[in-house]
Amino acid sequence: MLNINKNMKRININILLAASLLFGMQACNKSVDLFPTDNINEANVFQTVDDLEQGLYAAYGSLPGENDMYVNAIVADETKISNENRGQGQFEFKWQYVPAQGGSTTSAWVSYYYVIGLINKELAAFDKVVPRNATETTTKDRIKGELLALRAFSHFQLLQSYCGKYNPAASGIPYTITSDIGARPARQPISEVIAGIEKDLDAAYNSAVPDAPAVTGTAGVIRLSKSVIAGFRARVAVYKASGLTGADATTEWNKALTNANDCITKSGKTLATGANYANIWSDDNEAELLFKLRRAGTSVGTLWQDNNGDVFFEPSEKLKALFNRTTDARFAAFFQIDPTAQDTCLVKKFFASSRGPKIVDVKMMRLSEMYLIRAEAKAETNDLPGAAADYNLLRQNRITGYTAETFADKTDAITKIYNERARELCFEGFRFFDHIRRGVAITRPAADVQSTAWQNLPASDYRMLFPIPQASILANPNMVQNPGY
Amino acid sequence: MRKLVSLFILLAFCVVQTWAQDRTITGKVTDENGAPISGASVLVKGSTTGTTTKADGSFSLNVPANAKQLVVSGVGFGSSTINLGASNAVTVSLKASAGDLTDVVITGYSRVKKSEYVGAASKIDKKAIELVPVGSFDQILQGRAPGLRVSAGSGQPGASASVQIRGPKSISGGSTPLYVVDGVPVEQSVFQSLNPNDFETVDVLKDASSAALYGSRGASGVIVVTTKRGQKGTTKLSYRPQIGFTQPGAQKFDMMSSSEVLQFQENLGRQISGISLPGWRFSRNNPANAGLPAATLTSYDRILDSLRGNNVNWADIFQRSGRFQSHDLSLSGGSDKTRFFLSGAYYKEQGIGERSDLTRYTLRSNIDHTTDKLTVQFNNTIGYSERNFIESEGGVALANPFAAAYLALPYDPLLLSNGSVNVGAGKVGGNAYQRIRDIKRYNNQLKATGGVSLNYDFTKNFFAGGNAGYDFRETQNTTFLQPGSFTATQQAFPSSTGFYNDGFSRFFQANMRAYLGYKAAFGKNDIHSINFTANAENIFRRTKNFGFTGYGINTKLPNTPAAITPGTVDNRLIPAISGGKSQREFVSFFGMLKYAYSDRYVLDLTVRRDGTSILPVNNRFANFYAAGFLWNTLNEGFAKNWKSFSTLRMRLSYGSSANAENYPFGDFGYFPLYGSGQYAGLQTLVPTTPGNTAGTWEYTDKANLGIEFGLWNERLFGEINIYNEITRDMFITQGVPIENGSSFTSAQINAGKMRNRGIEVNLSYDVIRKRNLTWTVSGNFGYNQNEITSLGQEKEFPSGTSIVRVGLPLGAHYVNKWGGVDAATGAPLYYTKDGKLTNVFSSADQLAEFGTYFAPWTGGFNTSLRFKGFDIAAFFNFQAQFSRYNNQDFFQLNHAFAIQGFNLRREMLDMWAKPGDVTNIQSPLFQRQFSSKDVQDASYLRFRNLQIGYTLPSANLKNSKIIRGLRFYVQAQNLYTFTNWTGFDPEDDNNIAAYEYPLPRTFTFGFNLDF
Repeated sequence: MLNINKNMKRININILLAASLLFGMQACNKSVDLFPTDNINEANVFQTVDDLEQGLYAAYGSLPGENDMYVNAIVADETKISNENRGQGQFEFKWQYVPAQGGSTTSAWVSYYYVIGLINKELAAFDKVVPRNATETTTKDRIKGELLALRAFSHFQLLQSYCGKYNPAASGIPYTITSDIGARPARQPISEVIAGIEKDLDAAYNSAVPDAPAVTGTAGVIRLSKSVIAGFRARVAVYKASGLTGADATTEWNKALTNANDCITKSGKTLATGANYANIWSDDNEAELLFKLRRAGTSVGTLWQDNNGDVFFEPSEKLKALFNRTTDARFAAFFQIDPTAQDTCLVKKFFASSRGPKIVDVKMMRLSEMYLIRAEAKAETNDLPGAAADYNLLRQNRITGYTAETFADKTDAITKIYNERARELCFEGFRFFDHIRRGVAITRPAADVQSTAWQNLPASDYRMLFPIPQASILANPNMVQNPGY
Repeated sequence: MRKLVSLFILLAFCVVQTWAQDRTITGKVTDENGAPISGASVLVKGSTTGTTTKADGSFSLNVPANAKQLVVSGVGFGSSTINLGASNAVTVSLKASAGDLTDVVITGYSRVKKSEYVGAASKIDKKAIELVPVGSFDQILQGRAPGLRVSAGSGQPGASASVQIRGPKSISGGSTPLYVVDGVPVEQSVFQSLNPNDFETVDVLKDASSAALYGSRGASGVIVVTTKRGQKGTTKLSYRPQIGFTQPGAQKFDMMSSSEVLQFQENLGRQISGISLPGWRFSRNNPANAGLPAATLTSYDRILDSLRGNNVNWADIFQRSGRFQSHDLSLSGGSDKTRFFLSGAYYKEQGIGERSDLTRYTLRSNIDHTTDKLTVQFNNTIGYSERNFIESEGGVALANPFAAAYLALPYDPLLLSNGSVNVGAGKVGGNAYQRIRDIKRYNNQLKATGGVSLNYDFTKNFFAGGNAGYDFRETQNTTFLQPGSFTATQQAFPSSTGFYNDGFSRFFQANMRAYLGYKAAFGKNDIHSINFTANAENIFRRTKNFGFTGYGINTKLPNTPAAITPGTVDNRLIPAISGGKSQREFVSFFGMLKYAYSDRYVLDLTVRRDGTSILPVNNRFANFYAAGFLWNTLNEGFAKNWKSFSTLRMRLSYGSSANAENYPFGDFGYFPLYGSGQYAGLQTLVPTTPGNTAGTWEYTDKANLGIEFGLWNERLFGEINIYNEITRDMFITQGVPIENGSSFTSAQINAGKMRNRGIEVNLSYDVIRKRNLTWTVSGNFGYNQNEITSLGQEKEFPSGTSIVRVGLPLGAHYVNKWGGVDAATGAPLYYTKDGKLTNVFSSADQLAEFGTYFAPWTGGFNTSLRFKGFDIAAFFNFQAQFSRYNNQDFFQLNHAFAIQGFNLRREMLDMWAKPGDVTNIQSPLFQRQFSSKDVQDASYLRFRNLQIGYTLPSANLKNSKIIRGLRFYVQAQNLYTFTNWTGFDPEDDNNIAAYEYPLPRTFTFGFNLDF
């Protein structure tokens, strides 16, 4: 009896010890749930509307506008290699880009998807942010609109770089609306990509984004407006229309017309002329300017020359020949003879600002482009007088002593408008994409190349579609390379 | 409590009743001098029935009627077998064993006799550690245990070494072992404030079973330090002073003298245009001087003559012979129940570089208390150290005096005729020398480590206990620039006004463990025995740092924060502030079971569940296990006649572990993080790291097979282990498709696999074993073969001058293969990937055939001879079959640096000059590239330590009632190095030699005085 009692006590003590051990285990399980104090964690980075705005600025700041300018200029026919070039951009110019070494042809992929990632991460946290008042509610809605529009824009630039002419069934790119480091997305048909772009642009247009381009502090028009979103819609419509025929094409040309109209109306701006026009390129005014990327450093200014004055690319003879050197104000605004290297002509369009040499903002959308889109849409829908009116209005603002022209027929109109785009929008990232959407071969005169191998790139050549970077092909088993590479 | 205790005694008595038919043996165990030995083990031979002696050495043991013999052994003593006669009372005297703890393995939490230990562990005795004149104890371990690769990265006094056990275990994380001092895990690689003279033993735990106590922290092995403890008996006072000096070792290269530099400059001028160095500018062979008047040419000759007349040995100016002294005082003793060890020490070592030293003050108190049921241990140490540093250590920088010493031109004098230092543009030597005087760089460190452990035996079967400890360290790093000095004038504002920078960092880690145990023996003759413990453990760590840099230093108040001018908008002397804090927590629950059958077989099983805050939530808890098996072969019946053998044991173990201590991402690296940026003058938020929310441990599964043998009464003793360790889920850099919206193109994921396999051999042989003459030779070596076996979906990725590639060992050099110099043109030649010679240098031709910088072969050997009172011990260690990139060659055998006004090596005089010259030095017309020319075999054999001593015969001390022992000795550390390596020091902790602080050669004299 006595022994049993003692045994009981021993057991009790053991139970007590075991219980305290278990209790300790419970307490310890919790104790490993620690969080960093010194870092901003992705899970709680976006807590206020101010945070959302900072995330938006990161997306704006990461847009690779100058890469599009560079690749459009050197892959197409806007430039020629200078004898001071030490290899910069040469394999793009010579159409020798490959997936493992694509230079600016592959970096667009990385840069735009980077922006898309920033946007998707922010949108994922968007609903958790509670505005504190009505103003913040509006601000939040505006930010969302801008993010969606930027996502659409980024995908659109990728589509033009990697997918060629509009063909709904053809292979597009992944339209990425989530951020998942483990995801291995496959290419979607172009129709799905376009649907994604249009959906995001519609939502953006219907958000609290202001109508007209608004100035942010001293930086200028660095944020999107409905005017610019309408401009994006017009560009998408032009891309689609150029790849379509018949009634389908007409529908899209009409959309282009409507949206270009909307963009022009909402912008509240008019075409500039004289000094006002010239000063756009030195960032001294924002006449005609609807949307730009602010640059504090020498990014866009050093695409064609470097800081010590060496010239990598000169404007092509083909481009220069398009201008009337004496009457067209654009010639002096866009080109300059290099004082340090005899007979070298420089790209002056992005050259210097009051902030310093080679420090220039990246112009992403200007009013004149909308007049050109409207003219093209009118011409395509057989409104030749209407097309001529827009065409002449633009040229009157650029050319001294200009007399209005009339178009003989549709072909004449399209050719002239197309050449006007080449003049007005040179080095702004349109030239190669214009070839793409219309399925036109790239041709360079002998004066612009050292070898005949670099003179003609037929519209059917595989290199009209840029290679998808090798890193993505290796890392993503679902990614299919463009044919030919 | 008293009630409780008596309760258990009664209870135990009840159990004892069942053995009434057995008999009870009582007795006492003493040492040779008759002093009682407590805690000695008394076992019935051939069974596990046994007990341990009480504090007075007494024991009482119920033995089966058929028991014939008792085996008695004690920690620090040999064992003795007693025949049981009719008497129930025995007295046993044990002889002290050679090393006090040689027959036990200390796992950090427990002491296990080697005869019951299932794992692979090596022991380093205090004899190898004590009194070695090196500031950081990890450097002392070099070559002392097989499989332990120690590489001192710096000879700066107090610098820690790079330590690896059985090869690297990670690509992106480290492979540093876990360090445990008296049961308290301590901060890796911070040992400048620990006194190695307090150490009794260092146990190196290598296999899974050894490291099972550490689970997720044990992948890179464990180094367990046990400090000295008091022994019962007379109180002993010991004083051990040592004085000596450090000196630079010999170099295997020669720099050019003044006349040679001038000659070389002329050689350069002949081949390339635009050389304005004096050797060409004032040369009569310079065509530009051809038309000059004779008087001018004569004055040029005089200029060259005067330059040739200056021959400054810059190495002598920047290096010195430093002073060394240390004093060690310890007091130990105790009674039956309580014993103590107290020590205080002072250590001062001046480095071989000017303005580099270590001064250390340490105190230690270790207290033990034992009663019948209770064992308590208390350890505490506190250390304070101060170190002065050279600048830009290990950097190819002109501020690094070890670089400046060889880059400076010998014809530039140190001092000008007015006595001031020759500073200014291009005055490499003078500027670096002046910096030593204008700048102070030092740290102060306070480190305290302490712990308490206790065990209580409730009953014969049940016991419980625990331990708790802490490791605290605060380091203050200071840099001070004297305002108004030459060096200050070379700085940009605001540093030009002088600055004072303090950086504080604090480390605090606490550990706690509680356990409940059960042990029992059963079966016929208690042939089965088990010991089981259930453990819960918690470790938490807090780190914090902050720093400031203040400017506008008041010249009247040098080297203090008080001299800082408060910053205003007008004076623009705004101080810079920085800081941060972090933390981590670790918990574990584990069960350990030891089962023994007879005295022949032991099986150890460990199962544990570890959790940590440094892993993402879903992977935070993981299970680990280990199993080990021991076979005491000699105790088998069939081995009865194996008379030559005194020991024969086989061991086998397998288990899992991970690298918590070297996790590559710090405390919170798995979180995807954002940082601040700027756009258009506006603040932005941008993702900075992708994090790794699926991250898990880098696991290492370890298998080990070992044999331990002793022959002829342990005259020859050896241990051989073979092992295979597979590290899986190793972090690799994997490409991420950015089109998934992650905004990242690469991430670290757990996908790699690496294998380390090898063999370790440890042998010792007593050549002569006589009373007045003993001669022992012992040695060890380890061979580790490392190979990356998988990188997930990647095949390879470059990492600096190395490449990580499947099929190669980690650390494989990746450079272009040197093909010599084209005699016709002087162009450097390289081999293409296809083995063809080319003069085109292309990164596409890089090859990975130049070995690795992780030495596969490591080891050491020593010999000790004692004749009467004289003793002599010599210790050598080696690392072999590894290569390192000798960046010193790249700088010292490169014409481009001569053009910039630096000195080069003498070989450069063989530079190609004209077609037909057959030489290995290319023409200056071509760029000098990184190539295999600079990858050198760094294998070395180093005469690490020599000690010669004389111990006064005790007969001479008999008259003195006070002095018990006296020994004088001289020793030399890093006496000589055999190597083909031409850089400073082949022993380094990385792949590339870049003017690292070389290890000094140290000579000391000292004596040990025991009272």
